[in-house]
Amino acid sequence: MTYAILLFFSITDFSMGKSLFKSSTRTADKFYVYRTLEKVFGESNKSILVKNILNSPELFGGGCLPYNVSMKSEKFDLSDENFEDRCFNNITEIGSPAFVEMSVIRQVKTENTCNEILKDTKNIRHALALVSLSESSPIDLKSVKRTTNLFFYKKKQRETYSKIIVNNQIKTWRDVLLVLCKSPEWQIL
Amino acid sequence: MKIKILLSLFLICISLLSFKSGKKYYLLNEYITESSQEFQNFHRVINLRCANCHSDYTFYTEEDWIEQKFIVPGNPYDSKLFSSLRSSHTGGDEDMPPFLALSEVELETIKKYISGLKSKGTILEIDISFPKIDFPSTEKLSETEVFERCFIQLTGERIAQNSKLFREVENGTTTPAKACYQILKEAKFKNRDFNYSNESLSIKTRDQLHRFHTSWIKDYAYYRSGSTYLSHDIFPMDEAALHLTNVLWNGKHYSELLNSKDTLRPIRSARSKNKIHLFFEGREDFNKLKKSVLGNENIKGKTFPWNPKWLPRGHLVNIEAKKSFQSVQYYVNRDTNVTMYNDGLILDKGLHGANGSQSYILNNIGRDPGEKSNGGLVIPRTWAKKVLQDFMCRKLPVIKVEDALSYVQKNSTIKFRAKSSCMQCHTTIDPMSGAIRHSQVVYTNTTGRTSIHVKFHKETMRSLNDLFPDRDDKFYLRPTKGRFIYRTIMGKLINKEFSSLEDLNKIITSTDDYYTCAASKYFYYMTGISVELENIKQSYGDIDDNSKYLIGEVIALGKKLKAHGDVKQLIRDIIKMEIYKQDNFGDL
Repeated sequence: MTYAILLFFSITDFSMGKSLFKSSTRTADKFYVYRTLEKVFGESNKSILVKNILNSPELFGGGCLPYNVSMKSEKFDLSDENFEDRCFNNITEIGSPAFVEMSVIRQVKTENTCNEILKDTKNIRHALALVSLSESSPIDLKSVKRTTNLFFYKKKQRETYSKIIVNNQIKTWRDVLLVLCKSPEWQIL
Repeated sequence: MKIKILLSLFLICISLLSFKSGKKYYLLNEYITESSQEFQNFHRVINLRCANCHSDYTFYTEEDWIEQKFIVPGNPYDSKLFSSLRSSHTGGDEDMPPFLALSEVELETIKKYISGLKSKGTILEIDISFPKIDFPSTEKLSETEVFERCFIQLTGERIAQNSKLFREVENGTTTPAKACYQILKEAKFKNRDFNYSNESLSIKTRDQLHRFHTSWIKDYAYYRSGSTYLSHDIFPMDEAALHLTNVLWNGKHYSELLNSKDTLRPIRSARSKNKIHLFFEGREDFNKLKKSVLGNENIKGKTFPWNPKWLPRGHLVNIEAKKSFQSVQYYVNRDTNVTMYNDGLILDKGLHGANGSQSYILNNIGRDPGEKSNGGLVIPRTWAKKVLQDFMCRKLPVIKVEDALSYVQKNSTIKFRAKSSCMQCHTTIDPMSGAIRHSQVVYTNTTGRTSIHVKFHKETMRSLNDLFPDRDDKFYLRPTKGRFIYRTIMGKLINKEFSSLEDLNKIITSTDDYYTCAASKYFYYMTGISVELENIKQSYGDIDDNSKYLIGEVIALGKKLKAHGDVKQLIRDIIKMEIYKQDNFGDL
């Protein structure tokens, strides 16, 4: 054992050198997450998405553009012009990072959002209609692949998730959409 | 048993040797070429007698010795190096190295080398090269995937798969880089000629990149920003980012970011009129504030009604040069022990370029309201530090200790000016801050319902030659002169005098580093890979190959940007890179 350790030290190259870069996972920002979920599940989910996603730049990244917003009164309203660009917590959010690494809290927020949205069958119908499916459509590989396209732009991820869903015999479209919505990969570029 | 002990000792020796030798040996053998016998002899003495404490000397080129004023070619007695070595008993400045002076032969070698130096040709040279990486083809994304990736990054949403541009990428008529470049081109201000995009998508694209620009500049907290809320309605808190956005969408050369003479005016479009102060948008329980006043609210009769004009709200549709400015007659220096002035203050005019805007100076000046620069303890040095961070991507120190030696103020009453380790940073930032020495932070009134501004004092005093005065109460009234003392990423020392912020910005924008920094910022935005920029000539032998590759790539991008000046083209060049086309950006 002693020789093995000594040999390890003797052959290890200590001159690997210092690193002058840091590689972060290039995630999508809060606007992309917000717009994707709004597009897939419908505009009626705006308030859920504002509360969980737009309100959390520290988790999802993407700052704010307060000068874009035109407010009618001191009370924030979803009908205020360009309300999405508001600094929801503090004006200094204007300098928030353009993107933020994946984190457990971000994942929990995403999962809660997906659970809340998919409680409503109207939202399930909205998502399926985008890929010409309905709740009565069979859950087969071909149909599942179409739904994966709602979230993933990379073929490899579409295929992986299609197989996982079909092989695990997921029974309802609600569960299929939950798996896709909660998967962290669609938020990674 | 004996064999075991011997074997152990042998292996320990090998492991220690491999640890001890490493980079320095590698560097000398691989990258240093020697061509002059005199230099070799000189270098041997330096390595043997000086490098234990001054390890950097090992890598000094002949140019370095001369540039840093250690050697005056042809004149050993005027050379600081020789003077430090020849001992104080014989008229030298110091007794280096301590404890064991150089032998006569060694001293003669140094003297002979310096005496023989007539020309400035580089004899000892570090050959810096940047390796390439072959990325696996299995991890390469398809053309449509690369296009989707850049489209999301630039617009914040996915492209419709039945769109004209997506189909062109799919059938190979165009490339992802060209397609995304097209989206960028059509997002310019006031565009009416849409082939692939539309007004709504262009607004999203401009907003997406403006948000990135605001994150680039980062710090946005004015002094007591809650009390000075009104400032946000008078001049844009994101003006430095507006300069970046202006360069991008108004087709300016990237150098214009710092070379623009203009204070910028954002043109915005909204359907409804905004009624709320910008700062309070986040507060549901906000009560409407009283009308604004100027002056000293601590003394009766010293306030004056005032109705400042608010900035426009709505989507950014253009950025123009501001032609007219708001001003007030009365203003105060602070909220206690107040002095009220009635000589007029322009509220929303900046100096030169992004780093001279009101909001950039206020966010980074690092001085309390009322303070006037005195050249010693009170100068806007944090602004200088931030300029280096934001526009050169460099952390302090940006020079070598040796560069700072001649600026150490041994008799200074300011402690950090007397220490060479402190002066490694202060040699750069103190003289650099001279460019905005005439800036003073002031309020429009004394209480918590005020705005904060920069007053730029007029130059009324003559210039002094002292670069590091301990205290000069008229410092803020003297010409905005200074020196830019900076060592580039490639190790070249810049030591130039400037006479104004405009002049300083011209020096900055003439360097390659300024463009390399921009390239590394956009490269980070597009890939998530943050490349740290430092003097790589000094550390080249210590850096790993992946870092060398990445530094080489951002330097190459920066060189192109310096030539064409077009940020859209820079983004296009990044999308064209092999690393960008990799799933997970190459997993470096």
